[in-house]
Amino acid sequence: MKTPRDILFEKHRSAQPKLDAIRRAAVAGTNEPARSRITLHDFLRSLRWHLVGMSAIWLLVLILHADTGQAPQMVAAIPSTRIPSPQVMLASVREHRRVLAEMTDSHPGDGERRELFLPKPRSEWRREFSIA
Amino acid sequence: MLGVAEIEQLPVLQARAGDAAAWDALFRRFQLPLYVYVFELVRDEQTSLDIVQEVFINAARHIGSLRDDAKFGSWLFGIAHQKCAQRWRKQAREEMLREEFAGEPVQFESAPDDLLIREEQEAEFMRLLNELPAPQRSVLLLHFVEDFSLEEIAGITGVSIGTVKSRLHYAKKSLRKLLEKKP
Repeated sequence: MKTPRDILFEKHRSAQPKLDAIRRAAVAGTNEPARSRITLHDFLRSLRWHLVGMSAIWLLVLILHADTGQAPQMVAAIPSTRIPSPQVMLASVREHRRVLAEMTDSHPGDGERRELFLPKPRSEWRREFSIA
Repeated sequence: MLGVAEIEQLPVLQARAGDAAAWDALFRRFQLPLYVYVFELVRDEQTSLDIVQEVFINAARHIGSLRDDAKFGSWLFGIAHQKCAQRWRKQAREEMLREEFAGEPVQFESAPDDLLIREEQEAEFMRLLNELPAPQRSVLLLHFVEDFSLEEIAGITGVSIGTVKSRLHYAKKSLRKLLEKKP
């Protein structure tokens, strides 16, 4: 007397060599995913030439920056007496506008009207109110 | 109920870690039961060997999707069942529709070796097994070959436990009836 399992296994026992070959091939294939598994080390190794290139660029940038590092000192070295006062700058702007108006043949009166708005001192406002 | 891997201490954990020897042990353990199951469903040697190979490759690739290591066996048979179902859809769609069940599902608790077959009945047993509709044959083979639990068979075949009980009951009943007829 046999169980159904015994009968079934006995019937297909002849397929065993073929199944062994399939198994061996499949087991050999299981190594591939392990090899293709990317570790952090592999990832960084693949990027090593990019990292070298980027490092060189940054080094160059630092060297160039060190060369032009004197620029802020030069600005600081300008004496404060050479910087014109606001009044002088305003007069200069007015002069430039007048020259520009002459060159473009615009009415001199317009130039007067377009003069920069300068608020009057508060003391003058009170005087105007009291007159009114 | 304990799964096959849990009872036999199968090296599933080592296989997960990519241990080739562990994979070899697992495939060696299941290669013949898988082949028997697949062959008795598709009835073609070359197709069966192709399916077993596909099952092994898929198992190695998708071991991460196995939630419970103790269920390795049923998981493997589940892959095989899906491959067979793909073949069935192509070959014998009408056979799947032939199955009809009557009455309530019956409680089925007998062991796979409760059906003992005499030597002179072996050929007849194989013929009768092949005459069963594919869904009944499938659950019966899973029961005979690996002694899977009803829950595991339900998981493998993708049907409810009630349906598995019913299929197993009627398959075994018809087998026994046919075998009893013979002298």
